[in-house]
Parts: sequence; C-alpha cells; structure tokens
Amino acid sequence: MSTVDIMIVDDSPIIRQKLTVMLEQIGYRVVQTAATGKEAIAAYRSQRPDLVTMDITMPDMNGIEATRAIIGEFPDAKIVMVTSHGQEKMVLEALKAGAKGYVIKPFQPHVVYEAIQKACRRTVDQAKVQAIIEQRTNTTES
Amino acid sequence: MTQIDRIMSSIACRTREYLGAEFGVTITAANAHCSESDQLTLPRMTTVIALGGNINMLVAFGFDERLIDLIFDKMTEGFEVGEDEVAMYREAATGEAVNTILGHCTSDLADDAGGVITMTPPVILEGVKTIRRMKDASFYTQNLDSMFGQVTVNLVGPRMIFDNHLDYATQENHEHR
Repeated sequence: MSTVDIMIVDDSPIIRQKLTVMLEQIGYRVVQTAATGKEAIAAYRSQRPDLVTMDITMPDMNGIEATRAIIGEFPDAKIVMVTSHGQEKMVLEALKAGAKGYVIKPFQPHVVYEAIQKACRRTVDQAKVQAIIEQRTNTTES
Repeated sequence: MTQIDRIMSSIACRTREYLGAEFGVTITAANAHCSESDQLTLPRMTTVIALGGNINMLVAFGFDERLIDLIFDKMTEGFEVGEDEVAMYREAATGEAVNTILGHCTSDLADDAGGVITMTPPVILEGVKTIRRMKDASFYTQNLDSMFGQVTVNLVGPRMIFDNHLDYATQENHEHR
C-alpha cells in the first residue's frame, strides 16, 4: 500500500489522538491535525495532504463549511467526514459540499480504512447527489 | 407522545446502545420526569450540548465517577496519557461520549419538514451547579442506572434564554453555585 498523507480535523483531542494511532497502525501517515474549521483551511493550504478526515461539529467554523471552502480552493481535495451526526440531511449536505465519504462515530478501523480507500480511488458523482437532494426536497414540499 | 417524551426516549435508547456496545455497560433502569421544582442541581461534572433545529433545547449529561473512569480508560487505550493531561482527556472523553450519543439521536429526531438538527461542541461544567427556574424555563430530568453508576440527563429550555454554560442569557445572573 502506498503511503497516504492524512490531516485529521476534530475539536476533540481524544479523537485526534485515537484516529492518529489508528491510521498510523493501518499504515497511513498523519501529517497534520487541526481543531477547528478555520485551522483546517489554513493547514490544508500549507500541507496539501492526500486526504482529510473532517468532523462536523466544531468551534468557529463547522466541518461542512470548511469542506466547502477547501474544495472551493482545491477542487481535487479528498475529504471524508468522520462525525457522530447520523441525520440523512447532514450526510447529503456533506456530500453536496464535496466530501468523498462519510463515517459515523464511534468508528471502527476497517470502516475508516474502506472510506479512505474509496475516497482515494474514486470521486462522488455530484450530479447523483444533487438528484437525491432535489428528490427529497420535492417529497418534503408535496 | 410529546416531543419531550420523544427526545428522552431517543436519548435513553442511544445511551443504552452506545454504553453497551463501546464499554460493556448495561443500563438497568430508567426513569424520566418533568421537573416542577424551582431549581435544577447539576452533578459535579456536566457536559452540555445545545441542539438546534426542531429541538431547540440544551442537553446536560452527568456521569457518576466510575462511569467517567471507564469511558476515559477505554477511549485512551492505545496511547500514553501524561499525568498533566489526565484532566483534559477525562473531559474530552465525556464530551465525546455525549457528542456521539446526541449525534445518533439527531437521526431519530430529524423532522422531514424541518432543517437539520445542529449541535454545538460540548461544554464541560465543573463543580456542582444550581439553576433557579425562571418563568419561561423548563427542566426535564432522566436518570439511567447502571452497575457502574448513574447517568443523569437534563433537558433545559428554551435554548434562547440560556447560554451554552446554562447561565441565563440576560444581564442579571440567576445562577447560584
């Protein structure tokens, strides 16, 4: 397996530490951690990691806004959400913002590994995501 | 079933699932009631998260010490924690536990007609704290018993009259420590 440089974004120090240990045991390299959305954007510019794991609920800027900002500036960025939010609408918001995967906490190593591998080898079909969002919006309105 | 009943039921169910799956803790009993008292006394260490969207309340979790120890030990498995980091990681562990439970609850409580249910980052309150009930405030309490101690869940609302530290969002401070 070729090395993948990863940045972990999470406001919880215990999750940053746990994910670092887990990812390094799997064989990835954690090159940066960030505790807020704004920190993540600045760190992405300087580090240009191969992949980002992104929490949603964070101080100063949430993970969906940070994802949108990073993808806006770096369209090829690969971001996988790692969050406790289980709402379908939140998942769709994240994918719409450009996330390439979504893992719900508490995470298991094989689930994180699969999400990272998928994100690294293929992109989400944004047209398909948009169609799902529109379909759900129409259902809600009718 | 009222909205409060739905919220409490979801929290009880998700707490039971999470503590069981992650820490092997079995919830043996649960009881909920709408507090009619004039004040709410929070445990020595309380984790507060505000839920937005159609919920619009603050949720305050208190864990007995043995449960906190268990959560801390399990979450820090696999890496060293220095003596000077223990307090920080204990807070982070309980914050993450509450964040995970309530994050799972949002999928139960999401309303197709409403927007997403937002969550604030956890705020840890240290020290026993008492909140006096003002006219518009509502307190609801649920206790979940386990062999490692009790989980106390308080719902406090409406959200707009409190800040994230459960102080009244007015100039006059109605809190007593």
